[in-house]
Amino acid sequence: MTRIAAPAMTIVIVVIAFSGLAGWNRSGQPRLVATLTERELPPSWNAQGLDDESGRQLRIEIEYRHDPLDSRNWLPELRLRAIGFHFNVPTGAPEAADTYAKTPARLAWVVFELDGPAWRDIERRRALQPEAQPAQQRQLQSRLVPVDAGPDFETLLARYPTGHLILRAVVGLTYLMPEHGGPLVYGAIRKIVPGEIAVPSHLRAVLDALPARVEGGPPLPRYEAELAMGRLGIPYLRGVRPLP
Amino acid sequence: MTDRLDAQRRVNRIRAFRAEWDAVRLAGVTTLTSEQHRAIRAFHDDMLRELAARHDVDASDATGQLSRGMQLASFFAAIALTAAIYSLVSRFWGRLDLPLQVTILCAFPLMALVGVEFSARRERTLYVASVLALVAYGTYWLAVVVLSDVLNMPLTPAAIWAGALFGVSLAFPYGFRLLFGVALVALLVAFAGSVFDAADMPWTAAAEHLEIVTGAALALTLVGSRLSRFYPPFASVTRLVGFAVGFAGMLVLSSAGRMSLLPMSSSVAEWFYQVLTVLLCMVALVIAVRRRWDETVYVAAAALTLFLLLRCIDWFWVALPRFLFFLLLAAIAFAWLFVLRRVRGRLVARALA
Repeated sequence: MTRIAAPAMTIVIVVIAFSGLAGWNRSGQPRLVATLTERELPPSWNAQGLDDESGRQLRIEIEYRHDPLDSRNWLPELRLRAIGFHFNVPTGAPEAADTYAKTPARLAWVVFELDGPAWRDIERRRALQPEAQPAQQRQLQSRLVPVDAGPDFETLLARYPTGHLILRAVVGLTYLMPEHGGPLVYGAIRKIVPGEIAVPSHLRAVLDALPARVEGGPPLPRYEAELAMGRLGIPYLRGVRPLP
Repeated sequence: MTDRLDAQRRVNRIRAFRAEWDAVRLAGVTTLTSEQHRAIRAFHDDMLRELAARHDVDASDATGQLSRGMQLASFFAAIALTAAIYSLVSRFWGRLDLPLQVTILCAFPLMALVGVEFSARRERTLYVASVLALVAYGTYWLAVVVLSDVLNMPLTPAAIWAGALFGVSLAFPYGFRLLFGVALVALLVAFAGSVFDAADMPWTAAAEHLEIVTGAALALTLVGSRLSRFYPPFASVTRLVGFAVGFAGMLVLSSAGRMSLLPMSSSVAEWFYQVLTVLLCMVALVIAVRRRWDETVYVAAAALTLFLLLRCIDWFWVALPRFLFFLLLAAIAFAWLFVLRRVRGRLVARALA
């Protein structure tokens, strides 16, 4: 039996470490709490078939602010430098496209504003566009808008103590070629880490009892959920309530 | 384990001796009497019986082929069993509470580990034990991925380091080569991921920028020979994994310079890796042929062939008419064949000297 002692110990330690860290993350007062709706936390895309009862997940949906100029507004070069990016090559240089395309993405803390001035500004701009989306579709879009980013959670929390959500994200650089309106280098959120939140079994009943979406029916959110940020800066679900 | 390998080698020597001895007798050059010949045959028969009884070795070609078939069946059994456990988890997972989920995830690999030890004590060939070892390893990764999901804890290189440790510590005492190879791949991923993680980059960037994992894989081949002290086949597994991952990384970097982290343009990086790939493949081939590392010869020759094919497509596919392109490929293949024949000729001459 001594031959299996080391691998057995490894799995036990890994499981204890995962559970212990998750428990510690959720213990005590959360560092942040935000109430989001189905627009920001829709059910995960993972289809659940007859043979699948693997548990529910909610996806953190954000407004990515992909427009290059808009991105330069909320994520200027100074913030990108603070996150760890280098801008040693001028954007107009011939090697700029190659250099910035090769730059590895970085991890950063991103501050999100929920249904605030930034979201209303985006809505206004979208409404003015000639190919504006139908109102029904717009009512399903996430109102979680990135407004700031940095390498340190505490600094951002001190700057935005309430009304905001701070999440870990992968930020990368994109180079806009001269023929597409550049030359311009801008930062963009590639993904949120973690991008999905597990629904604890005691909260599942609320989601299971939700009425199914009707084709052509009102696209209003069916539930709201309380997302808390734990001690390790990892989000978890505290509660789910159906909306009338 | 080494005993069984030594026993198999002895059996192979006896079989080779018998085949050659029959040929010598037919040629009429033997000076042994029939009694002496029978004594040798009886001695070998006793030896074969003893080795078969003690180590369960393959005493004939037929049993050797069956053994390979059993190894293949074991591999598929392990995959099917792990898939069954994964499907079972998917089927009922959502209905279970978190403590029960954690307990079950921990119990799967632990039960498989107990099964490994139990079956290893009962059978010397370790077929069932190797199936259960692969199941234990598969369910380890299942536990890590599912725990990461249900607890919202993002997967980190630490869990992959632990996975490498799990695989290596299970493979070593029993001599599971496939498990050892997979654990080495996990080790390379863990190392490269940790480097990116330490630089505040997502650890998954290790798959987008291959230099770290490629360098680590080639460095791994240097420790291969030292592992033969513990169990000789692990040395060849280490070289196989190291050179396969290393050359695969070099091939990708030589075609996609934008994946390089070197402070040079993508096109210069591609040229740099093209030259380096050829040099490293040639060096590996020469060393492998001299030291009789069969697996390294195959991997380096395959990498060099693939490299030449990729370069030909890159340089000539558009520039040349199709018939000329394929003629060029055939010419390169003949030239390569000529080089290999020269090398082979020298080796044969050295063996006969």
